[in-house]
Amino acid sequence: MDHAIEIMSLTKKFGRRAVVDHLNLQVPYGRIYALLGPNGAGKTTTVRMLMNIFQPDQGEIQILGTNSLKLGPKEFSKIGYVSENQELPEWMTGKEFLRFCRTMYPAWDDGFCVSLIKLFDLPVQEKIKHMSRGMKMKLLLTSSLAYHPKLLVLDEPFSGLDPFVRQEFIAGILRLTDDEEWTIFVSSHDIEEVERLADGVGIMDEGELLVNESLEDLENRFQQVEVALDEHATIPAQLPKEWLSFQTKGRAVTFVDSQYRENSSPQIIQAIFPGGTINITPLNLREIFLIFAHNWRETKESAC
Amino acid sequence: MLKAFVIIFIKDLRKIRWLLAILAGALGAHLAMSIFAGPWIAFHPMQAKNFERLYEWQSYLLSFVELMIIISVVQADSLHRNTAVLLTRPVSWSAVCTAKMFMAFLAAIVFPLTAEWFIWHYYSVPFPKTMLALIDSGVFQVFFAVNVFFMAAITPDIKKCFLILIIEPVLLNWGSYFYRDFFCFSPEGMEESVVFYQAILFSIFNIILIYYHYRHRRIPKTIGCFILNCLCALFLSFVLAKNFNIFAFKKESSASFGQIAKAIDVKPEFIRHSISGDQISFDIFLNQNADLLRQGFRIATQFKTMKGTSLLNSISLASPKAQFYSRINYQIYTPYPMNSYVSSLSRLIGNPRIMNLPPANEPLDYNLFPDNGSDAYFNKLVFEGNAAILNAKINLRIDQLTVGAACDLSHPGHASCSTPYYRVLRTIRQHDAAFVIFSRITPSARLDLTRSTFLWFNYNNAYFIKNTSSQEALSGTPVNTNGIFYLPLGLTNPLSKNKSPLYLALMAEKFQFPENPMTSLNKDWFQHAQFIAIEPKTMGYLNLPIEYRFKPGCPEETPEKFKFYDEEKCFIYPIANQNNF
Repeated sequence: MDHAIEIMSLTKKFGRRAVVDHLNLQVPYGRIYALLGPNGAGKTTTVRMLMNIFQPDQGEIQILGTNSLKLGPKEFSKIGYVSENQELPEWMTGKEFLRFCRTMYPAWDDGFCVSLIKLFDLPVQEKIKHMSRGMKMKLLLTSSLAYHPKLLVLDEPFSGLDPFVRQEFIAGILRLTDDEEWTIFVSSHDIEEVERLADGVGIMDEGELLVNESLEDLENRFQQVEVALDEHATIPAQLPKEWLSFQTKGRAVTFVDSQYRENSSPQIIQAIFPGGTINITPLNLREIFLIFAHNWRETKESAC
Repeated sequence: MLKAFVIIFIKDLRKIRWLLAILAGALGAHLAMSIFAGPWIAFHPMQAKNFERLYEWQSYLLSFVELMIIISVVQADSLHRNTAVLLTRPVSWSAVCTAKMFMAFLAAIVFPLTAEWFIWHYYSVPFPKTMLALIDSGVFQVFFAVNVFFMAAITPDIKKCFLILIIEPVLLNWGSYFYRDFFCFSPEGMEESVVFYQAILFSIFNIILIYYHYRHRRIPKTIGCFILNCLCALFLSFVLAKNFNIFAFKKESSASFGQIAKAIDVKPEFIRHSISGDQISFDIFLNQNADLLRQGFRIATQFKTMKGTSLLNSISLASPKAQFYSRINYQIYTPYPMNSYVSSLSRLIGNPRIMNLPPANEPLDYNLFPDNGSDAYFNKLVFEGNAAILNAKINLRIDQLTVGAACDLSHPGHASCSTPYYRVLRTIRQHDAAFVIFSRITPSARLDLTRSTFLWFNYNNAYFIKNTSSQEALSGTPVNTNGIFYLPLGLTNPLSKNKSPLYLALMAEKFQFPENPMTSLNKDWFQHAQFIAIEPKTMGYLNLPIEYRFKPGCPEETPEKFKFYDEEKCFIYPIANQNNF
C-alpha cells in the first residue's frame, strides 16, 4: 500500500450537475498534498467524500487502505479533519472540548496537546463561543493533531483567517511535520499558503482534476519565457501546444512553456526563433494556477 | 461502543444541565400540585377551575421542557448540515444515537413516570393497576418522545423543528378525521385499541428509522421512510385491533347474575316528552325493583341507541306527505324508593344506627336517580304522517352496591385506606359537622376493561362515618355537589392529550351531626370510626328494547303526572295503552 489516499473515478452529482467528475488521484504516504481550485471547483465535495460525509455516486476512495464508505471509529482514530465549516460545541470551553476529544482517542498525547496549546497560544479557558474564528481553527487543529494522526485532512483551513494567524497556522504545521510521520491533504484556494506548505499539488476546476504532480516538478515544468526577436525573425503560424499564453510585445514574445526541460527546451525555442535572446524565469504557484485555470476555461469554451 | 455511549451521554448531560434543572423543578411542581391540591381545593371549589387550568398549563410546561431537552440533545450533534464535529471522530453513530435516545428516554419517560408513579402510589393505586398505568402512559410518552426525536434529527435547527412540531398535530388531526370516515370503529374498545397499536407501531418503526438515519444521514430517504412508516402503522393498527381488540369491553358475568336478571323485569313506567322548536325531549323512567334494591342491586343505563320512524301525513303546520326532522334529546331516569335504598345501604355497613337520617315522616317515595351514562343524545326523527314511533334500545347495567373502601380515621387529619382506590386526605371536626376530604382514583376505560369503575365521579356513591364500637354512623352529603374536582393523572403531552390512564377525583363530604346526639361525637368517637364508601360494582348487562308511539295534538285527558311541560306547546301526545312497552 503506497498511497494514503487513492481516489478512483470518483463522481458526485447534485441534481444533474456533476460536481466531481470521474476524479482520479493518488496521494502517497508522507506527502503534504494540496488540492487547489477556484470556488465551486468541487474540492470540498471531494474532501467530504474522503471523510464519508457524502457518499459518492460512482467510483471509490481508499483512505489509509480502507474504503471511505467503511470508515469507522478505528480509522477515524488515525485521521484528523479540520474544516472551516465544522460546528464546535460552542457552550464548552476550549479545555473542556479538548478533554472531550481526549476521551475518544486511545493515542491521545497529553504532553503533545499542551505543547500544541503553547504553540498556537490557545486561550483554552475561554468558552468556544467567545473565541475568534482563527482561535477556533487552531483549537480544531489542536484537537486533530494531539493523537498523532496518520492522515490530516484540512478543508479550506485558511479562509477567514487574517495573515498573521495564517502564518502561525502554517508555521505550526511545518514545525510538526519534521517530527510527525503523516500525510496531509489540504484543499484550498489560498495559493500562497499552499505553496509554502505543500509538496504535491492538484489543480481542480469544474469537478475535473487538471494537474496532479509534485510542486517541484510543476514549478520546474512551468517557465515564463521571454524572447527578444532579431530583426528578420518571423513568428510561425504553428507554435508548440505546450506554449501557453503566447503574447507579442513589439519585437519580443512572451509565453509560458508548460513542458519546460532544462536540457532540451532552450534549443527548441532557439530553433523556432533563431537569433533571439531567451530569458527564462520561473513561475510561482499562483501564476501557474491562473494560467491553468485560464487555459482550461478557454479550451472548454472553444469545445462548446 | 460502551465507551462512546458514555462519552456522548456525559457530554449531553453537561450541555442540558440547566434544562434538567428546569425539568426537576417542573416535576416538583407537578408532584406538589398533585399531592397537596386535595385538601386545599376541596374547600375552595370556586378556585377549582383555575386550579385545573393551572394544572393543565403545568403539564404543558412539563411537555415543553421534555421537548426542549430532546431537541437540544439531538441537535447538539446535528445530522442535517454535515458539519457536526462528531462526524469525523472515532465514535460509532449507533453509539451516538443510543446515547441520545437514552437521554431522551430518561428525560421524557423515566423521570416523569417516576414522579407519576409516586403520585399514584400516594393515592393508593394498587400495584397491578400502577403497572398497567405505567405501560399505558409510557406508550403514549414514548410515542411523543420518538416523534420529537425524529423531527429534531431531520431538521437543521430548533426553529424549523418547532415549526414542524406545530404543523404535525394539525396534519395528524386532519388525517384522523379523514380515516375516521373510512374505517369503522364499531366494536367497543376498537378505537382505543387502534390508537394504542398506532402509538406502539409508530414508535417501533421510527426508532428503527432513527437508527437508520444516524447511520446513513440521507434526509429525503428518511422522510420517505417516515411517511411509509406512518401509513404502515395506520394500516397494521387496524388489522391488529380487528384481531386483537385488547380494549374490548369484557362482560363479567357472575353465577348469580342469571338469577338476578330473571328477577329484574324492568318496565318503563312512563315516558314524558316535551317540545321546544325542532327539538323533542324524552324522559324515560325505568323503575328500580324495590326488592332487588333492598338486596343491594340497582339498575343503571349505559349504552343507548334511539331511532324514530314515522307513519302518515303531517304534523301541525306541515303539509301532507311533507317531512320534517326533529332533534331528539332524551334522558333516562331510574327512580327508586328511598327507603329500600337506605335499608340496603344500612345492611351493607352492618346495620348501625344512622344518626343523621331525615325524620321518618319525610317523604321517601321516589327520588330521581339520574343515570350515570350520557345524559343527552341527539338523533333525527322523521315525521311523515300523523303518528310516529320511537324505538329505543337501552342497555341496562346491573350494579351491586358494595363497600368500596373502609378507612380508619384513628389518625385524625390523615389516614390511609386499606382499600386501594381511596385515600382519606384529611378529617376536620367542627361543632356541628365533620368533613372528610378524600381522593378517589378511577382507571380509564383502557385500564378497566369491565368498565366497572369507569366513572370519573359517581353521584350514586354513598359515604358514611361509622363508629365500630358504638355501632353508630353518620351519612354524608357532598360539600360541593357540582364542584367535584378531578385531575387527569398521567402525563399529558400534545400528542397524548386526554389519554390519561387514571383520573383523580378530590372530594369533600360533610357529615352533619344530629341536633341532639345520644352520644357525644367527640374526638374519641372519631378515633374509633371508619370512613366507609359504598360503590356500585357492575354485575352484568341486559338489553331493553322499548317502543313509543305518539301522534299530533294534545291529549284531552292528560294524566296529572304527565303535566310537567307547557301544554300550549304540546302538539304530540302518546297514543293510549303506552305502558305495554
